[in-house]
Amino acid sequence: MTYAAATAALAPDGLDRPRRSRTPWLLGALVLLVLVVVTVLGRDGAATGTPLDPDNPGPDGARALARVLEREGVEVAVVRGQEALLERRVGEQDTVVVTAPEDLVPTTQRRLERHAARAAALVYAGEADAVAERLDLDTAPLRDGTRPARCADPLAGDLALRVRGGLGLEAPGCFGVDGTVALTRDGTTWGLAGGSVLANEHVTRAGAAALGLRLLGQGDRVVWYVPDLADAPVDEGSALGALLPPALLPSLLLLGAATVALVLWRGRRFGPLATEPLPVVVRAAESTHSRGRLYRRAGDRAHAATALVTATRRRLHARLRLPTDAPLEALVAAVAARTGRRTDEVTALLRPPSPTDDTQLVDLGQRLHDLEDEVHRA
Amino acid sequence: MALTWRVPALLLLGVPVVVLRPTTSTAGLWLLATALVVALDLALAARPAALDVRRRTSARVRVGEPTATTLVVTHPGRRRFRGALRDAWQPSAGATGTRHPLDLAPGGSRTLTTGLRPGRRGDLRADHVTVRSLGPLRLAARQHTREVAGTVRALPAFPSLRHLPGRLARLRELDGRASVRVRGQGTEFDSLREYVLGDDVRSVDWRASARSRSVVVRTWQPERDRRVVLVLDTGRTSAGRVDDVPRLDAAMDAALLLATLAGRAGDRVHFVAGDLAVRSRIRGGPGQVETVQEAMAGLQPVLAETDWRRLVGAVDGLTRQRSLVVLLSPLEPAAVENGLLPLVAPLVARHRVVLASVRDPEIDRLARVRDDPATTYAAAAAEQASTGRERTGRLLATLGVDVLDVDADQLAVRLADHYLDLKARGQL
Repeated sequence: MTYAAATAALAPDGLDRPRRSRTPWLLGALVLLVLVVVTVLGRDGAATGTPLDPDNPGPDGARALARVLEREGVEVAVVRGQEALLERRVGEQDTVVVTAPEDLVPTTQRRLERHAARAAALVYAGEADAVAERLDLDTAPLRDGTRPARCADPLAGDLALRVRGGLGLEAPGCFGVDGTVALTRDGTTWGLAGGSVLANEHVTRAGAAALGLRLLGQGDRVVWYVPDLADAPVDEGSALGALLPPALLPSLLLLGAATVALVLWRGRRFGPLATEPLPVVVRAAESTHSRGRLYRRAGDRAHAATALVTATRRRLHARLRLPTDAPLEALVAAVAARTGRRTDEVTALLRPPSPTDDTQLVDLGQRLHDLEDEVHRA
Repeated sequence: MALTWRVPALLLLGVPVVVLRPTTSTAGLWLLATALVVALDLALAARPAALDVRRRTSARVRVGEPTATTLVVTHPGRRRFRGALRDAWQPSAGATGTRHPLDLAPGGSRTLTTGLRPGRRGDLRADHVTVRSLGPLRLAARQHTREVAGTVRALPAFPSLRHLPGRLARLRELDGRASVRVRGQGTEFDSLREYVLGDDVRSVDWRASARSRSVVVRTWQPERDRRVVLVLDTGRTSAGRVDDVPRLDAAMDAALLLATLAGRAGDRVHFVAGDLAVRSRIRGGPGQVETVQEAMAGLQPVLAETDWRRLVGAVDGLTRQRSLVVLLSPLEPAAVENGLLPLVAPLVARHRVVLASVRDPEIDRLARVRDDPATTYAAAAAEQASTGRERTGRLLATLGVDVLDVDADQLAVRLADHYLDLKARGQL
């Protein structure tokens, strides 16, 4: 392995800056690709050709069954949505079929059952878990194979059904083994797990066709109810799960794990932080600043004024080349001579009365400053 | 342990698999498999703690100049070592290129170089060395941190070195111009040469001129073998920062320029530094400037009042002869009056004493602004401070101390000039 390759492998720690910035891009592209794949694969279920739809002519549709029923003299009425169903009167000669039970939510199911209470039969056919949920049953794996009905029900009595692998219903019924069945019945309510029996591609098989016709042809009329999720009250979220592709949850699990790994990869430090023993260094003028604030807090104007005047006198002494012990009168005279100001005015500045408020102090400070400037310029 | 980017990528590869078989157990199995592979990879990685890392000592360097430190890495294990090594230094060491990729065959060895550019004076130390060893699949790495001792001694920056050529030129001009004032007989006579314009007519040797056709002047040997004692105060007042440079560093700069100049002029430079205790004491001799720099590198301000008695005692211990004693200490009225002042008189009696102090221009700036009550009170405090400084300075001057209270950037030059003045007047 070259050094560059070793660097690439440890890129998170910034061994090599350009590489460090490229890897997240690659990862981002990978994530995007995976999302696209998931979306494309997940779209199948949502496509227009809904499985077992009476108007779907595709292999997984159920138009063939509907046509055969019509040819046999059974009126097939397709109702889509709750409103259409409630408008339709359901009598004792009617069979109500639901081939998309996953699109029912408790509320719409309750309404359906109340509406179809007098019907000859109410048939739920479709994916085993959706059917089981509607009938409040559990599911169990059901192995492949052609099974005889093995039940007393005259409707299925002499038929044999090719069961295609998947799930069955845990209930008494037909076409099953060990208590797991494909067809169950509770009064006039029927449940058919693995509704593909009714699909166009299987309907030509003897057993499947016969079962489909017998099940749906129990009355003179078939009301083929296609529930619409839009009818579900907004608070019944169970419908959402049915909408999502089945791969989503495990994918999210993996994405979550990948995120954790990502955090661990980026977050792991390459050794502890290096520490710096810092020396104690203070701003030298800090004490002067705070002494100024202290004077102000104490309101010690007299002291502040004295400090200002003393400093000005000291500088004027030096500037006018007077001995340091020269009396104030000599200084005043020298300043007056240099600037042309009146002596009493200069005296008032160099031996000022104690200021009574801050404004006077500021004023004194500025006037002393001006006086020094004047002496300096003169 | 550390992961590489391959682990999240591997986990994401499981997503298409989950789409093909959409159950939670698929995801769980994929996670488990990934964890197992990572564990296997870790188990097969070479042991990072077994790596032998030795540091070669690095040379001393001036602050701000580049240097490097070298690590010799030997891999004693039986498996190939792949991974990386990080050589971490304290931030002010200015280490660059601290991360080194490693690929060592069993028994292999490599030399790694980390660049350093010290940003601060003193002994800058290596913090630690961290080794990462990748597994054969490069999914995960084992990590181990250890101490590999190492220091780089950063000498004071010495920015005033650029003023040295000018001072040396002045020093050469002095040669032969002035006589040495020694008590007792005469001066140190050097040689005779022809008069050139500008020579002091008082130095014309009339007897020699009478024997010769041209006018001849006497020259004297410049003062040599004088003693300069630099006393560096590292007490609390030296900790103050003036325009982002600690007073101590500015004082060191001035001391170094003077030491270099005095060394070239043939004088011996002794050095004392201390606060509560004497931190460093160096007797002058060959290579004295280097020794002083070396000693300065390790000095830091101490937040304690300087014990001048000890420092003056150390000066007495270094030299009995009359010397130029340069006290590098801020002119802080309270500190000076309580500590130094009582000791000045006997010191001045024996030596020529100079106090070189770093002034704070911030005080002057504060004193000038009087726009509102806040600034006026601050100005009063600043005036108070500078009046106190001046009074203390005058007091010291009365006692015979030469006081140089100068802004940081000017102090080195002013001190060097003062030394040359003294030398020109033969007052050392």
